[in-house]
Amino acid sequence: MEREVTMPKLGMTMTYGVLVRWHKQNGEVVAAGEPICEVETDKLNSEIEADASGILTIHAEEGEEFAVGAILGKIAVIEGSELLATKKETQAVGGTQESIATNGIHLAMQRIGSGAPLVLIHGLASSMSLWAGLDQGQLEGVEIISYDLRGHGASERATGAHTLAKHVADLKGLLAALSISRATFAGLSLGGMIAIELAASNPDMVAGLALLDTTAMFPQATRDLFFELASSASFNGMPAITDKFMQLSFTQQFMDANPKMTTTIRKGMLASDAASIAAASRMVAKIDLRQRLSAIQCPTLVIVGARDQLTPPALAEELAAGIKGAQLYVIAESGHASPVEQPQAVTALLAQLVKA
Amino acid sequence: MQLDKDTLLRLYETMVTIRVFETRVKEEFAKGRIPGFVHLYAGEEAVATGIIAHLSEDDKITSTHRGHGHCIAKGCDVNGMMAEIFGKATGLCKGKGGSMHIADVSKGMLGANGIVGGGPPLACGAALTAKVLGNGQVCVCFFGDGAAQEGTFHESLNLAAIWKLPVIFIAENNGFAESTPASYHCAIENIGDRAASYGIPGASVDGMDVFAVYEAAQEAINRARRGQGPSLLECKTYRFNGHFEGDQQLYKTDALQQSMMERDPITNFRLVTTQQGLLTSEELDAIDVRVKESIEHAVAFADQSPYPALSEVDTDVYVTA
Amino acid sequence: MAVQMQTKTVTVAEAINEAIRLEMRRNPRVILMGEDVAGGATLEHLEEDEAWGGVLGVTKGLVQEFGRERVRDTPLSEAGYMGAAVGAAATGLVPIAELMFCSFIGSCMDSMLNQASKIRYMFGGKATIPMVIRTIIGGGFRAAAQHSMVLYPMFAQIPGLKVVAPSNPADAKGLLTAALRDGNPVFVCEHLAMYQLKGEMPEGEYVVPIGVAAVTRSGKDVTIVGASMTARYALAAAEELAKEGIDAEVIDLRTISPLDENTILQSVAKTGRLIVADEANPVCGLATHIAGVVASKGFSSLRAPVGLVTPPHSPVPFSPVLEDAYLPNAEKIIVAARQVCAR
Repeated sequence: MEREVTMPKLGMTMTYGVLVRWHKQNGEVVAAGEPICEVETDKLNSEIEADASGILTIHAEEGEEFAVGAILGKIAVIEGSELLATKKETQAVGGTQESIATNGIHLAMQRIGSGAPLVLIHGLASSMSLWAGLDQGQLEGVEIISYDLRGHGASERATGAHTLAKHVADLKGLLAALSISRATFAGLSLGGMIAIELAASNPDMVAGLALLDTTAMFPQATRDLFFELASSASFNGMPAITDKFMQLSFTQQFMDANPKMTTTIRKGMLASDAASIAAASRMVAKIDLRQRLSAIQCPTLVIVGARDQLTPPALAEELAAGIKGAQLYVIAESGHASPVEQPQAVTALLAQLVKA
Repeated sequence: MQLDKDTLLRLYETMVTIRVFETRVKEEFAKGRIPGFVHLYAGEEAVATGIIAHLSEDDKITSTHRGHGHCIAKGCDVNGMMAEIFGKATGLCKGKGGSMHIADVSKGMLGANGIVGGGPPLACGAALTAKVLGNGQVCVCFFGDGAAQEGTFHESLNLAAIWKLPVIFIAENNGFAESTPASYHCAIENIGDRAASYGIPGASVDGMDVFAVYEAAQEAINRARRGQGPSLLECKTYRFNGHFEGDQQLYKTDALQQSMMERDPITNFRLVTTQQGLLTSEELDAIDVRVKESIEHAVAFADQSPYPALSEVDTDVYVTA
Repeated sequence: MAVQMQTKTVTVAEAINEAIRLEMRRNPRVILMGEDVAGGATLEHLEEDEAWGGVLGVTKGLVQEFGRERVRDTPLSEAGYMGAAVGAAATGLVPIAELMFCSFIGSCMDSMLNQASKIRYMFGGKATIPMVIRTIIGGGFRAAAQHSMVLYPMFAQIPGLKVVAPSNPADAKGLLTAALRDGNPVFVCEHLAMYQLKGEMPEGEYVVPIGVAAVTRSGKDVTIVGASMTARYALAAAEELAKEGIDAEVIDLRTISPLDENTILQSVAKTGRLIVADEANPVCGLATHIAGVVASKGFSSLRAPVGLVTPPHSPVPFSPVLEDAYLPNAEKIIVAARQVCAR
């Protein structure tokens, strides 16, 4: 027996809704009552729960719009089975993806390999897939831990303002849950800012720091831009700002040469929660870490794409100058998302840092 | 305090009628069948019920934008109310007022009011009439914590005090003026304390407890009837829904909502009266059934009633010779 | 303006939000106050966030950028805070005071009628009141009598006040920016039905001058004057009328006071026929005022009586069928235009 998963009518004037994301994969077993996907109208978001236990087949793509009643998927019902919604484990190149409860929310995370821990922190409107291109071959003897920031990727959305303190608390909670007391940290953009704050306030936890495409404080024009993007997203959702974010994050050259990857990244961005991205943007606009730099004691690499528009090399130079002993590396032919555009170069630098 | 069985049953029936009515309005609104805006009273039933239980049909009340509860407690016809909310010709106001302006002057209900703070001066006027005509009537004035910051509140209390008017001011403090908490918008914690500034008696009671409200109201209303002038009674209460339907209520925490819903005036009334052997579950259940039927009937009535004729657009503006 | 500015598609609500945001950055003296303009003040769980960002979300995101010193939620105290805005304006700030619905003027009329409008005059020109009063006007949402009025004739009648009423996002941003730089008390009337309507809006800072109407459609047979929503209905009506061979010229007033009489008179001189469509009540209203101006200053241009499309002299009804009968719309404008052109 088959049950259809359809786009529900959530509001009195609703005729179309967007399928924001699937919580389950094609072919996965779902339990009755378990949330299987998230849909959105311009007024609200809602979870759709499976109304039967069985095997889910996905018929609709994330980020697309569907009419009320349209079939999003089907469940091949398994009668009389007892299914518990448990921690989902999927294999990802020898790694496991989990959800960790910490600091009052659930964070999606992934660990690959074993050895000296390297924690990867992505940036605004991104997710841990930012680091997917890193060459694990060069990182033998390293345990790579990456996670989705609150309100990003597969991590739980949380209402209310984003603050740097909350993000740092999330990270510390994650590390505690994994029993990691000291690690090397690599953060990109906002991720870099989180890493700076952690290194300044808990130097004992930070063996080494890689700050990619980031800054201690954005210049006024960029701060204004973040507020405008936040406002745009608040009023009109992710579609209103995704193009701009893509342009700021990647060189046109990269996007032209990698259409499939670009499409995947774009879809992920479109499916993000607009309220969370807006709140995070406003937070980023107000961050000022210039006074924190002198407290950083560990070996530090400052890495920037030569063609990074959002955090240009000049900002990276300032950042490196403010941290004792920091080394600056400019990666040619890369924009803001250097781990995506030049994964080999980034991997080499991170390997160098971890093994030092 | 000892209340006789009839009174207890009446109190229960009024509260349940309000709750079921508001729940049905919420459902119908979600389906898109009610025009405009609705502001629901669910959670605050004990206040309207406990106070209006002391009033006769001739006594007057003024109300707020959140007026369905006051209307029902005052004895307005639920069929006419529902039809008014639906905008039908058979509504209490012929479909011209809607939820925010629902009224029945023949039952002493001087109207819900879309203007926060619009009621207190009107109530003073109604009380003035009662005093001048010497008919022993009183006027109860309902308003919210938001309205307690309007100039009309202050002017009305002073006026009622100097003229010793038979008006009872009821501050329904549900903790929020739209999305702004009372802890921010009000300079003091207990609105009841403001009575002292105007030289009138004041008190603050638990508005989730119909017995507490009933008792405090009795005292205030008797005082007014005896010609001893106005009082201010603050009832601390809580609205289970938003300011209007469609309000995402971000200003409420889940913890607050949950803790207040545990203080549901109706469930607690049932608990207290059955535990103390004052009423039986069967008696209360019977009321539940009857009320549900009557509200279903009201919805059907509203549904089947016609809209007003277009020629009604500019009638009832003036009294004509 | 020789430079072609980049534009983007936004709603009127977003345009207003952007105008406020840009001006608050440019001028640190600008503050915003009103009921729930941020919402949720001092609630711990909201931290720096807002509960509403305005009753319809028009001012969301502003408290996060400018803080609660400059974006202030007020109690429900119109007389208090509107009066305070006048005092603040007189002493160096540029307040944006939000009067949630224009009917609430009833609670604070003194501050506008006797204070804001008259202080400069009474003090011999030696005081200024640079402030903006943003307020919701208009019906169509079944909000009933006390929440659906169009009161700009009342505001316009008072010397010393200016009144604008945009009909689209570009004008909304430009007029609000102009109002914030005007140095006088200016009412900005935002129609409830318009907030979600989209249009092209230039990026960056710009002003739409106050006191200048826009000819949004050129024509030769009849002039149709509208403001706010009726300016949009007039355009829709003109499109239909064109199919019947009636070529209408449409004027979007944009400013109610000071009224751009010249644009109206020039147009009527060309067409000879005038329709005025307005949502305010007709007695001593805007439509009748414009008819009077044309009758006294442009009489020789007129080849037919002025056609007026207004609601009746009654409060706004609640019931949907009655409210629809009450409100002006494109269809009623078309009927009036046919009548005026048949003579």
